[in-house]
Amino acid sequence: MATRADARRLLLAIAGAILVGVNVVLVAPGLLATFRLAHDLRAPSRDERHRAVLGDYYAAISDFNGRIPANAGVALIPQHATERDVAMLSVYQLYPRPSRVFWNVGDWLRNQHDGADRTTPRPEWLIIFDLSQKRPYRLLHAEGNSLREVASR
Amino acid sequence: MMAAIAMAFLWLVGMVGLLAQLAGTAGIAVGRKLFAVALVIAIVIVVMRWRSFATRVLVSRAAALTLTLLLLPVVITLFFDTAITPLRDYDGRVTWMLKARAIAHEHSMSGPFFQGKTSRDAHSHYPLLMPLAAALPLEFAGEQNESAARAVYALTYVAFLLVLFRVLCVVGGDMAAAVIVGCVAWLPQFAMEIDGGMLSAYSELPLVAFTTLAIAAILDADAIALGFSLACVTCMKNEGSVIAAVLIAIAVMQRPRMRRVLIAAIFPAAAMLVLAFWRRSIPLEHDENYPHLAMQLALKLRNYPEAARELLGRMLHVHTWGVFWFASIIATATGIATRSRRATTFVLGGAAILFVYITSYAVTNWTIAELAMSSANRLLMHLVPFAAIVIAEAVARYTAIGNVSS
Repeated sequence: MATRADARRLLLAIAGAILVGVNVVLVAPGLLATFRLAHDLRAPSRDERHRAVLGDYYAAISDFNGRIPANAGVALIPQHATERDVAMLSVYQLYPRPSRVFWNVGDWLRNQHDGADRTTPRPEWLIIFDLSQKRPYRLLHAEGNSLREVASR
Repeated sequence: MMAAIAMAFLWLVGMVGLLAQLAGTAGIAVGRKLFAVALVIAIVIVVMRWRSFATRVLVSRAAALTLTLLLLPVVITLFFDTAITPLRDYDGRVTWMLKARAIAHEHSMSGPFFQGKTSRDAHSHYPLLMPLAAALPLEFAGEQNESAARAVYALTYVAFLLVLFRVLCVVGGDMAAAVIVGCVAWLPQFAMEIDGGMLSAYSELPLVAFTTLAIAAILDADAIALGFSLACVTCMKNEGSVIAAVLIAIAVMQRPRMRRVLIAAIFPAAAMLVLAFWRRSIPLEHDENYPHLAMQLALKLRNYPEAARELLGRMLHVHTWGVFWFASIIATATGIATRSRRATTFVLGGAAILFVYITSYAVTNWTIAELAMSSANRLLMHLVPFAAIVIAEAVARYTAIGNVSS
Protein backbone atom coordinates (compact mmCIF):
# COMPACT_ATOMS: atom_id res chain seq x y z
CA MET A 1 0.00 0.00 0.00
CA ALA A 2 1.33 3.37 -1.02
CA THR A 3 2.30 5.62 1.86
CA ARG A 4 2.07 9.41 1.97
CA ALA A 5 5.84 9.51 1.44
CA ASP A 6 5.44 7.50 -1.78
CA ALA A 7 2.81 9.95 -2.97
CA ARG A 8 5.16 12.85 -2.26
CA ARG A 9 7.97 11.15 -4.16
CA LEU A 10 5.65 10.59 -7.13
CA LEU A 11 4.63 14.24 -7.05
CA LEU A 12 8.29 15.29 -6.97
CA ALA A 13 9.07 12.99 -9.91
CA ILE A 14 6.24 14.55 -11.93
CA ALA A 15 7.44 18.07 -10.99
CA GLY A 16 11.00 17.15 -12.02
CA ALA A 17 9.81 15.74 -15.33
CA ILE A 18 7.87 18.94 -16.07
CA LEU A 19 10.82 21.12 -15.00
CA VAL A 20 13.21 19.35 -17.39
CA GLY A 21 10.69 18.28 -20.03
CA VAL A 22 9.52 21.81 -20.88
CA ASN A 23 13.13 22.89 -21.46
CA VAL A 24 13.94 19.83 -23.56
CA VAL A 25 10.92 20.48 -25.79
CA LEU A 26 11.93 24.15 -26.15
CA VAL A 27 15.64 23.55 -26.74
CA ALA A 28 15.91 20.22 -28.62
CA PRO A 29 15.12 21.57 -32.13
CA GLY A 30 17.66 24.40 -31.77
CA LEU A 31 20.26 22.11 -30.27
CA LEU A 32 19.82 19.69 -33.15
CA ALA A 33 20.13 22.54 -35.66
CA THR A 34 23.34 23.71 -33.94
CA PHE A 35 24.75 20.19 -34.09
CA ARG A 36 23.79 19.82 -37.76
CA LEU A 37 25.37 23.17 -38.63
CA ALA A 38 28.67 22.13 -37.02
CA HIS A 39 28.43 18.73 -38.71
CA ASP A 40 27.90 20.33 -42.14
CA LEU A 41 30.79 22.74 -41.59
CA ARG A 42 33.38 20.19 -40.49
CA ALA A 43 34.84 19.71 -43.99
CA PRO A 44 35.12 23.28 -45.39
CA SER A 45 38.12 25.51 -44.66
CA ARG A 46 38.09 28.04 -41.81
CA ASP A 47 37.41 30.88 -44.24
CA GLU A 48 34.54 29.03 -45.92
CA ARG A 49 33.00 28.24 -42.53
CA HIS A 50 33.07 31.92 -41.60
CA ARG A 51 31.55 32.93 -44.94
CA ALA A 52 28.79 30.34 -44.55
CA VAL A 53 27.85 31.38 -41.01
CA LEU A 54 28.53 35.12 -40.90
CA GLY A 55 27.16 36.01 -44.33
CA ASP A 56 28.17 38.38 -47.10
CA TYR A 57 29.66 41.07 -44.87
CA TYR A 58 32.40 38.66 -43.82
CA ALA A 59 33.36 38.00 -47.45
CA ALA A 60 33.36 41.71 -48.30
CA ILE A 61 35.45 42.72 -45.29
CA SER A 62 37.92 39.88 -45.98
CA ASP A 63 38.28 41.11 -49.55
CA PHE A 64 38.81 44.73 -48.45
CA ASN A 65 41.25 43.69 -45.74
CA GLY A 66 43.44 42.06 -48.39
CA ARG A 67 43.49 45.26 -50.46
CA ILE A 68 44.45 47.71 -47.73
CA PRO A 69 48.18 48.08 -46.94
CA ALA A 70 49.36 46.32 -43.76
CA ASN A 71 48.83 48.34 -40.56
CA ALA A 72 46.83 51.06 -42.35
CA GLY A 73 43.82 52.18 -40.30
CA VAL A 74 40.24 51.88 -41.53
CA ALA A 75 37.18 54.02 -40.94
CA LEU A 76 33.99 51.98 -40.70
CA ILE A 77 31.02 54.15 -41.65
CA PRO A 78 27.47 52.81 -41.39
CA GLN A 79 24.99 54.89 -43.40
CA HIS A 80 21.96 53.92 -41.31
CA ALA A 81 21.33 52.76 -37.73
CA THR A 82 20.60 49.25 -39.05
CA GLU A 83 24.21 48.89 -40.24
CA ARG A 84 25.87 49.88 -36.97
CA ASP A 85 26.12 46.34 -35.66
CA VAL A 86 27.79 45.09 -38.83
CA ALA A 87 30.28 47.97 -38.64
CA MET A 88 31.12 47.14 -35.02
CA LEU A 89 31.46 43.43 -35.75
CA SER A 90 33.87 44.31 -38.55
CA VAL A 91 36.27 45.72 -35.93
CA TYR A 92 36.64 42.16 -34.59
CA GLN A 93 37.16 40.74 -38.05
CA LEU A 94 39.74 43.35 -39.01
CA TYR A 95 41.73 43.18 -35.75
CA PRO A 96 44.71 43.73 -35.34
CA ARG A 97 44.26 46.29 -38.11
CA PRO A 98 43.33 49.61 -36.42
CA SER A 99 39.69 50.38 -37.16
CA ARG A 100 37.30 53.07 -36.01
CA VAL A 101 33.55 53.45 -36.26
CA PHE A 102 32.32 56.86 -37.51
CA TRP A 103 28.62 57.57 -37.68
CA ASN A 104 28.90 59.43 -41.04
CA VAL A 105 31.42 60.86 -43.49
CA GLY A 106 31.14 64.30 -41.85
CA ASP A 107 32.31 62.78 -38.55
CA TRP A 108 35.16 61.11 -40.41
CA LEU A 109 36.22 64.49 -41.89
CA ARG A 110 36.34 65.92 -38.35
CA ASN A 111 37.97 62.72 -37.00
CA GLN A 112 35.06 62.34 -34.58
CA HIS A 113 34.89 58.57 -34.21
CA ASP A 114 32.97 56.87 -31.40
CA GLY A 115 36.05 56.43 -29.18
CA ALA A 116 37.54 58.87 -26.69
CA ASP A 117 41.12 59.14 -28.01
CA ARG A 118 41.30 61.49 -31.04
CA THR A 119 45.08 61.92 -31.09
CA THR A 120 45.54 59.47 -33.98
CA PRO A 121 44.90 61.07 -37.42
CA ARG A 122 41.77 59.93 -39.24
CA PRO A 123 42.20 56.77 -41.35
CA GLU A 124 42.72 57.14 -45.10
CA TRP A 125 40.73 54.03 -45.92
CA LEU A 126 36.96 53.95 -45.54
CA ILE A 127 34.48 51.10 -45.62
CA ILE A 128 30.93 52.34 -46.24
CA PHE A 129 28.05 50.13 -45.08
CA ASP A 130 24.75 50.74 -46.86
CA LEU A 131 22.44 47.76 -46.97
CA SER A 132 19.87 49.68 -49.05
CA GLN A 133 22.26 49.72 -52.02
CA LYS A 134 22.93 47.04 -54.61
CA ARG A 135 26.53 46.96 -53.38
CA PRO A 136 26.09 47.18 -49.59
CA TYR A 137 29.83 47.40 -48.81
CA ARG A 138 32.22 49.79 -50.56
CA LEU A 139 35.90 50.48 -50.00
CA LEU A 140 37.07 54.07 -50.51
CA HIS A 141 40.50 55.66 -50.32
CA ALA A 142 41.05 59.31 -49.42
CA GLU A 143 43.28 61.01 -51.99
CA GLY A 144 43.77 64.69 -51.31
CA ASN A 145 40.32 66.22 -50.97
CA SER A 146 38.48 63.45 -52.79
CA LEU A 147 37.45 59.87 -52.12
CA ARG A 148 38.27 57.25 -54.74
CA GLU A 149 36.33 53.99 -54.76
CA VAL A 150 38.48 50.87 -54.88
CA ALA A 151 36.91 48.26 -57.14
CA SER A 152 36.05 44.91 -55.54
CA ARG A 153 37.52 41.68 -56.85
CA MET B 1 35.46 12.74 -9.15
CA MET B 2 34.10 14.71 -12.12
CA ALA B 3 33.05 17.54 -9.80
CA ALA B 4 36.56 17.59 -8.30
CA ILE B 5 38.09 17.89 -11.77
CA ALA B 6 35.57 20.64 -12.57
CA MET B 7 36.55 22.56 -9.43
CA ALA B 8 40.23 22.11 -10.26
CA PHE B 9 39.59 23.49 -13.76
CA LEU B 10 37.82 26.57 -12.39
CA TRP B 11 40.74 27.12 -10.02
CA LEU B 12 43.15 26.94 -12.97
CA VAL B 13 41.13 29.45 -15.00
CA GLY B 14 40.63 31.77 -12.04
CA MET B 15 44.21 31.57 -10.83
CA VAL B 16 45.67 32.27 -14.29
CA GLY B 17 43.23 35.18 -14.75
CA LEU B 18 43.96 36.70 -11.33
CA LEU B 19 47.75 36.35 -11.63
CA ALA B 20 47.69 37.85 -15.14
CA GLN B 21 45.46 40.68 -13.87
CA LEU B 22 47.89 41.37 -11.05
CA ALA B 23 50.96 41.22 -13.28
CA GLY B 24 49.33 43.29 -16.02
CA THR B 25 48.33 45.97 -13.53
CA ALA B 26 51.92 46.04 -12.26
CA GLY B 27 53.10 46.69 -15.81
CA ILE B 28 54.57 43.23 -16.41
CA ALA B 29 54.17 41.95 -19.99
CA VAL B 30 51.22 39.55 -20.23
CA GLY B 31 52.92 37.23 -22.70
CA ARG B 32 53.83 33.57 -23.04
CA LYS B 33 56.36 33.65 -20.19
CA LEU B 34 53.89 35.12 -17.74
CA PHE B 35 51.12 32.74 -18.77
CA ALA B 36 53.48 29.77 -18.45
CA VAL B 37 54.53 30.86 -14.94
CA ALA B 38 50.89 31.55 -13.95
CA LEU B 39 49.83 28.14 -15.24
CA VAL B 40 52.58 26.37 -13.29
CA ILE B 41 51.66 28.25 -10.09
CA ALA B 42 47.98 27.44 -10.66
CA ILE B 43 48.73 23.73 -11.20
CA VAL B 44 50.84 23.59 -8.02
CA ILE B 45 48.04 25.22 -6.00
CA VAL B 46 45.43 22.90 -7.51
CA VAL B 47 47.55 19.85 -6.62
CA MET B 48 48.02 21.15 -3.07
CA ARG B 49 44.28 21.72 -2.70
CA TRP B 50 43.14 18.54 -4.45
CA ARG B 51 41.91 16.97 -1.22
CA SER B 52 39.47 19.82 -0.65
CA PHE B 53 38.02 19.35 -4.16
CA ALA B 54 37.75 15.60 -3.75
CA THR B 55 35.40 15.78 -0.77
CA ARG B 56 33.28 12.69 -1.15
CA VAL B 57 29.66 13.26 -2.17
CA LEU B 58 27.66 10.04 -2.40
CA VAL B 59 25.96 9.71 -5.78
CA SER B 60 23.71 6.76 -6.61
CA ARG B 61 23.99 5.01 -9.95
CA ALA B 62 20.50 6.21 -10.91
CA ALA B 63 21.38 9.85 -10.22
CA ALA B 64 24.70 9.56 -12.10
CA LEU B 65 22.89 8.01 -15.08
CA THR B 66 20.17 10.68 -15.04
CA LEU B 67 22.77 13.45 -14.95
CA THR B 68 24.82 11.86 -17.74
CA LEU B 69 21.82 11.34 -20.00
CA LEU B 70 20.64 14.91 -19.47
CA LEU B 71 24.04 16.57 -19.93
CA LEU B 72 25.45 14.52 -22.79
CA PRO B 73 23.44 16.02 -25.71
CA VAL B 74 24.12 19.55 -24.46
CA VAL B 75 27.83 19.00 -23.88
CA ILE B 76 28.45 17.17 -27.18
CA THR B 77 26.71 19.97 -29.13
CA LEU B 78 28.64 22.61 -27.19
CA PHE B 79 32.04 21.04 -27.91
CA PHE B 80 31.18 20.37 -31.55
CA ASP B 81 30.06 23.97 -32.05
CA THR B 82 33.12 25.34 -30.21
CA ALA B 83 35.54 23.32 -32.34
CA ILE B 84 33.97 24.02 -35.73
CA THR B 85 31.42 26.83 -35.97
CA PRO B 86 32.65 30.45 -35.86
CA LEU B 87 31.65 32.65 -32.93
CA ARG B 88 28.40 34.40 -33.85
CA ASP B 89 27.25 36.33 -30.80
CA TYR B 90 27.42 40.14 -30.54
CA ASP B 91 29.26 41.15 -27.35
CA GLY B 92 31.51 38.11 -27.54
CA ARG B 93 32.96 39.56 -30.74
CA VAL B 94 32.51 43.29 -30.11
CA THR B 95 33.72 43.19 -26.50
CA TRP B 96 35.09 40.09 -24.76
CA MET B 97 36.92 38.06 -27.41
CA LEU B 98 38.26 41.24 -29.02
CA LYS B 99 39.84 42.12 -25.64
CA ALA B 100 41.34 38.62 -25.43
CA ARG B 101 42.83 39.02 -28.90
CA ALA B 102 44.16 42.47 -27.99
CA ILE B 103 45.87 41.06 -24.88
CA ALA B 104 47.41 38.26 -26.94
CA HIS B 105 48.50 40.73 -29.63
CA GLU B 106 49.89 43.49 -27.38
CA HIS B 107 50.92 41.26 -24.45
CA SER B 108 49.42 43.88 -22.21
CA MET B 109 46.11 44.90 -20.63
CA SER B 110 47.00 48.59 -20.75
CA GLY B 111 48.49 48.77 -24.26
CA PRO B 112 47.42 50.98 -27.19
CA PHE B 113 44.16 49.03 -27.70
CA PHE B 114 43.12 49.55 -24.09
CA GLN B 115 44.16 53.21 -24.29
CA GLY B 116 41.67 53.59 -27.14
CA LYS B 117 44.47 54.50 -29.57
CA THR B 118 43.92 51.78 -32.20
CA SER B 119 40.57 50.01 -32.46
CA ARG B 120 37.27 50.30 -30.68
CA ASP B 121 37.61 49.12 -27.06
CA ALA B 122 33.99 48.70 -25.98
CA HIS B 123 33.40 49.06 -22.23
CA SER B 124 37.03 49.82 -21.53
CA HIS B 125 36.65 49.47 -17.74
CA TYR B 126 35.13 45.99 -17.77
CA PRO B 127 37.14 43.54 -15.63
CA LEU B 128 39.35 41.28 -17.74
CA LEU B 129 39.58 37.91 -15.96
CA MET B 130 37.96 35.91 -18.76
CA PRO B 131 39.72 37.72 -21.66
CA LEU B 132 43.01 37.12 -19.80
CA ALA B 133 42.24 33.42 -19.35
CA ALA B 134 41.16 33.18 -23.01
CA ALA B 135 44.35 34.98 -24.09
CA LEU B 136 46.45 32.08 -22.76
CA PRO B 137 45.46 29.62 -25.55
CA LEU B 138 45.62 32.47 -28.07
CA GLU B 139 49.23 33.16 -27.03
CA PHE B 140 50.22 29.56 -27.70
CA ALA B 141 47.81 28.50 -30.49
CA GLY B 142 47.88 31.77 -32.45
CA GLU B 143 45.95 34.99 -32.12
CA GLN B 144 43.38 34.05 -34.79
CA ASN B 145 42.59 30.67 -33.23
CA GLU B 146 39.14 31.52 -31.98
CA SER B 147 38.22 27.91 -31.18
CA ALA B 148 41.14 27.57 -28.74
CA ALA B 149 39.92 30.58 -26.76
CA ARG B 150 36.30 29.42 -26.94
CA ALA B 151 37.36 26.08 -25.45
CA VAL B 152 38.05 27.91 -22.17
CA TYR B 153 34.47 29.19 -22.14
CA ALA B 154 33.00 25.79 -23.08
CA LEU B 155 34.95 23.93 -20.39
CA THR B 156 34.06 26.60 -17.83
CA TYR B 157 30.37 26.01 -18.59
CA VAL B 158 30.65 22.25 -18.18
CA ALA B 159 32.63 22.80 -14.95
CA PHE B 160 29.82 25.05 -13.71
CA LEU B 161 27.22 22.33 -14.26
CA LEU B 162 29.33 19.74 -12.39
CA VAL B 163 30.12 22.06 -9.46
CA LEU B 164 26.43 22.99 -9.26
CA PHE B 165 25.63 19.26 -9.12
CA ARG B 166 28.05 18.84 -6.21
CA VAL B 167 26.51 21.81 -4.35
CA LEU B 168 22.95 20.59 -4.92
CA CYS B 169 23.87 17.04 -3.82
CA VAL B 170 24.83 18.48 -0.43
CA VAL B 171 21.63 20.55 -0.20
CA GLY B 172 18.91 18.36 -1.69
CA GLY B 173 20.31 14.90 -2.40
CA ASP B 174 21.76 13.37 -5.56
CA MET B 175 18.60 12.70 -7.57
CA ALA B 176 17.18 16.19 -6.98
CA ALA B 177 20.60 17.60 -7.90
CA ALA B 178 20.71 15.60 -11.15
CA VAL B 179 17.24 16.78 -12.20
CA ILE B 180 17.83 20.45 -11.30
CA VAL B 181 21.23 20.53 -13.04
CA GLY B 182 19.63 18.85 -16.06
CA CYS B 183 16.97 21.55 -16.04
CA VAL B 184 19.61 24.30 -15.83
CA ALA B 185 21.68 22.77 -18.67
CA TRP B 186 18.59 22.68 -20.90
CA LEU B 187 17.38 26.19 -20.02
CA PRO B 188 16.82 27.94 -23.36
CA GLN B 189 18.69 31.00 -22.07
CA PHE B 190 21.73 28.82 -21.33
CA ALA B 191 21.63 26.22 -24.09
CA MET B 192 20.35 28.17 -27.08
CA GLU B 193 20.64 31.92 -26.54
CA ILE B 194 23.32 33.17 -28.93
CA ASP B 195 23.96 36.28 -26.80
CA GLY B 196 25.06 35.17 -23.34
CA GLY B 197 24.37 31.43 -23.59
CA MET B 198 26.82 28.55 -23.69
CA LEU B 199 27.63 29.09 -27.39
CA SER B 200 28.76 32.66 -26.77
CA ALA B 201 31.94 34.25 -25.42
CA TYR B 202 30.25 36.53 -22.90
CA SER B 203 31.51 36.57 -19.30
CA GLU B 204 28.02 35.75 -18.01
CA LEU B 205 28.36 31.99 -17.62
CA PRO B 206 31.90 32.18 -16.17
CA LEU B 207 30.51 34.63 -13.60
CA VAL B 208 27.76 32.14 -12.74
CA ALA B 209 30.38 29.35 -12.57
CA PHE B 210 32.56 31.19 -10.05
CA THR B 211 29.49 32.26 -8.07
CA THR B 212 28.64 28.55 -7.77
CA LEU B 213 32.24 27.79 -6.77
CA ALA B 214 31.93 30.40 -4.01
CA ILE B 215 28.67 28.81 -2.82
CA ALA B 216 30.44 25.43 -2.70
CA ALA B 217 33.11 27.06 -0.53
CA ILE B 218 30.44 28.48 1.80
CA LEU B 219 28.89 25.01 2.22
CA ASP B 220 32.36 23.51 2.80
CA ALA B 221 33.21 26.34 5.27
CA ASP B 222 36.46 26.81 3.35
CA ALA B 223 37.53 30.44 3.84
CA ILE B 224 40.46 30.37 1.39
CA ALA B 225 38.35 28.81 -1.38
CA LEU B 226 35.61 31.36 -0.68
CA GLY B 227 38.05 34.25 -0.82
CA PHE B 228 39.60 32.99 -4.05
CA SER B 229 36.22 32.45 -5.78
CA LEU B 230 34.98 35.85 -4.67
CA ALA B 231 38.11 37.51 -6.04
CA CYS B 232 37.39 35.76 -9.37
CA VAL B 233 33.73 36.85 -9.25
CA THR B 234 34.87 40.45 -8.63
CA CYS B 235 37.34 40.39 -11.54
CA MET B 236 34.86 38.72 -13.93
CA LYS B 237 32.22 41.42 -14.42
CA ASN B 238 31.19 44.72 -12.81
CA GLU B 239 28.19 42.95 -11.28
CA GLY B 240 30.66 40.60 -9.57
CA SER B 241 31.30 43.13 -6.79
CA VAL B 242 27.61 43.08 -5.88
CA ILE B 243 27.45 39.28 -5.98
CA ALA B 244 30.63 39.00 -3.88
CA ALA B 245 29.21 41.33 -1.21
CA VAL B 246 25.98 39.30 -1.09
CA LEU B 247 27.87 35.99 -0.86
CA ILE B 248 29.94 37.31 2.05
CA ALA B 249 26.68 38.25 3.81
CA ILE B 250 25.31 34.76 3.08
CA ALA B 251 28.51 33.17 4.43
CA VAL B 252 28.13 35.16 7.64
CA MET B 253 24.47 34.15 7.98
CA GLN B 254 25.07 30.50 7.07
CA ARG B 255 28.09 29.99 9.25
CA PRO B 256 27.91 32.27 12.26
CA ARG B 257 30.98 30.60 13.71
CA MET B 258 32.92 31.01 10.53
CA ARG B 259 35.10 33.87 11.73
CA ARG B 260 37.36 33.25 8.80
CA VAL B 261 34.74 34.81 6.54
CA LEU B 262 36.54 38.05 7.31
CA ILE B 263 39.73 36.52 5.93
CA ALA B 264 37.78 35.51 2.81
CA ALA B 265 36.51 39.07 2.40
CA ILE B 266 40.08 40.34 2.08
CA PHE B 267 40.48 38.60 -1.32
CA PRO B 268 37.66 40.38 -3.20
CA ALA B 269 38.58 43.65 -1.47
CA ALA B 270 42.15 43.27 -2.76
CA ALA B 271 40.81 42.36 -6.22
CA MET B 272 38.72 45.54 -6.24
CA LEU B 273 41.78 47.59 -5.32
CA VAL B 274 43.80 46.02 -8.15
CA LEU B 275 40.92 46.71 -10.57
CA ALA B 276 40.65 50.31 -9.38
CA PHE B 277 44.40 50.79 -9.82
CA TRP B 278 44.28 49.34 -13.36
CA ARG B 279 41.25 51.47 -14.28
CA ARG B 280 43.15 54.62 -13.35
CA SER B 281 45.36 54.06 -16.41
CA ILE B 282 42.47 53.29 -18.81
CA PRO B 283 40.23 55.99 -20.36
CA LEU B 284 36.52 55.26 -19.86
CA GLU B 285 34.89 54.42 -23.21
CA HIS B 286 31.46 53.24 -24.26
CA ASP B 287 30.25 52.75 -20.72
CA GLU B 288 28.09 54.37 -18.12
CA ASN B 289 29.60 55.80 -14.97
CA TYR B 290 27.39 53.98 -12.47
CA PRO B 291 28.85 55.55 -9.29
CA HIS B 292 28.05 58.94 -10.84
CA LEU B 293 24.57 57.81 -11.93
CA ALA B 294 23.84 56.41 -8.46
CA MET B 295 24.28 59.95 -7.06
CA GLN B 296 21.18 60.94 -9.09
CA LEU B 297 19.10 58.15 -7.58
CA ALA B 298 16.76 60.53 -5.76
CA LEU B 299 15.77 62.11 -9.08
CA LYS B 300 15.01 58.77 -10.70
CA LEU B 301 12.93 57.00 -8.06
CA ARG B 302 9.90 57.12 -10.34
CA ASN B 303 11.75 54.78 -12.74
CA TYR B 304 11.69 51.88 -10.25
CA PRO B 305 8.31 50.38 -11.23
CA GLU B 306 9.25 50.28 -14.92
CA ALA B 307 12.73 48.94 -14.13
CA ALA B 308 11.29 46.20 -11.89
CA ARG B 309 8.64 45.30 -14.49
CA GLU B 310 11.23 45.04 -17.28
CA LEU B 311 13.56 42.80 -15.26
CA LEU B 312 11.15 40.64 -13.26
CA GLY B 313 8.64 40.29 -16.09
CA ARG B 314 11.18 38.35 -18.10
CA MET B 315 11.24 35.60 -15.47
CA LEU B 316 7.82 34.57 -16.74
CA HIS B 317 8.91 34.17 -20.38
CA VAL B 318 8.52 30.42 -20.77
CA HIS B 319 10.31 30.32 -24.15
CA THR B 320 13.45 31.73 -22.45
CA TRP B 321 13.29 30.20 -18.97
CA GLY B 322 10.90 27.26 -19.19
CA VAL B 323 9.17 26.92 -15.83
CA PHE B 324 12.42 27.42 -13.86
CA TRP B 325 11.39 30.67 -12.16
CA PHE B 326 7.88 29.36 -11.45
CA ALA B 327 9.54 26.43 -9.65
CA SER B 328 11.77 28.89 -7.77
CA ILE B 329 8.74 30.86 -6.57
CA ILE B 330 7.07 27.66 -5.28
CA ALA B 331 10.37 26.62 -3.68
CA THR B 332 10.71 30.04 -2.03
CA ALA B 333 7.24 29.67 -0.52
CA THR B 334 8.10 26.15 0.68
CA GLY B 335 11.40 27.33 2.18
CA ILE B 336 9.74 30.18 4.06
CA ALA B 337 6.81 27.99 5.20
CA THR B 338 9.19 25.34 6.56
CA ARG B 339 11.43 28.02 8.14
CA SER B 340 14.47 26.90 6.23
CA ARG B 341 17.37 29.13 7.22
CA ARG B 342 19.32 28.17 4.12
CA ALA B 343 16.44 28.88 1.72
CA THR B 344 15.64 32.19 3.41
CA THR B 345 19.28 33.27 3.27
CA PHE B 346 19.65 32.50 -0.44
CA VAL B 347 16.28 34.08 -1.28
CA LEU B 348 17.34 37.26 0.55
CA GLY B 349 20.70 37.16 -1.23
CA GLY B 350 19.05 36.79 -4.64
CA ALA B 351 16.56 39.55 -3.81
CA ALA B 352 19.40 41.90 -2.81
CA ILE B 353 21.16 41.30 -6.14
CA LEU B 354 17.88 41.83 -8.02
CA PHE B 355 17.32 45.12 -6.16
CA VAL B 356 20.76 46.41 -7.21
CA TYR B 357 20.10 45.39 -10.84
CA ILE B 358 16.69 47.11 -10.78
CA THR B 359 18.39 50.21 -9.35
CA SER B 360 20.95 50.17 -12.17
CA TYR B 361 18.05 50.14 -14.65
CA ALA B 362 16.32 52.96 -12.78
CA VAL B 363 19.34 55.29 -12.92
CA THR B 364 20.51 54.49 -16.44
CA ASN B 365 20.65 57.14 -19.15
CA TRP B 366 19.42 54.52 -21.64
CA THR B 367 15.77 53.86 -22.37
CA ILE B 368 14.95 51.25 -19.71
CA ALA B 369 13.05 48.97 -22.11
CA GLU B 370 15.94 49.08 -24.61
CA LEU B 371 18.53 48.27 -21.92
CA ALA B 372 16.35 45.45 -20.56
CA MET B 373 15.95 43.96 -24.01
CA SER B 374 19.70 43.55 -24.37
CA SER B 375 20.61 42.65 -20.78
CA ALA B 376 17.71 41.52 -18.54
CA ASN B 377 17.89 37.81 -19.31
CA ARG B 378 21.66 37.86 -18.90
CA LEU B 379 21.33 39.50 -15.49
CA LEU B 380 18.76 36.88 -14.46
CA MET B 381 21.33 34.20 -15.33
CA HIS B 382 23.41 35.39 -12.34
CA LEU B 383 20.60 34.34 -10.00
CA VAL B 384 20.29 30.78 -11.29
CA PRO B 385 22.65 29.19 -8.69
CA PHE B 386 20.72 30.94 -5.89
CA ALA B 387 17.38 29.72 -7.26
CA ALA B 388 18.73 26.18 -7.84
CA ILE B 389 19.76 25.96 -4.18
CA VAL B 390 16.36 27.18 -3.02
CA ILE B 391 14.67 24.52 -5.21
CA ALA B 392 16.99 21.77 -3.92
CA GLU B 393 16.37 22.88 -0.33
CA ALA B 394 12.60 22.80 -0.94
CA VAL B 395 12.88 19.24 -2.29
CA ALA B 396 14.88 18.21 0.79
CA ARG B 397 12.30 19.78 3.14
CA TYR B 398 9.37 18.30 1.23
CA THR B 399 10.91 14.82 1.29
CA ALA B 400 11.78 15.16 4.99
CA ILE B 401 8.18 16.12 5.85
CA GLY B 402 7.03 13.07 3.91
CA ASN B 403 9.42 10.81 5.78
CA VAL B 404 8.32 12.20 9.15
CA SER B 405 4.59 11.99 8.44
CA SER B 406 4.81 8.46 7.08
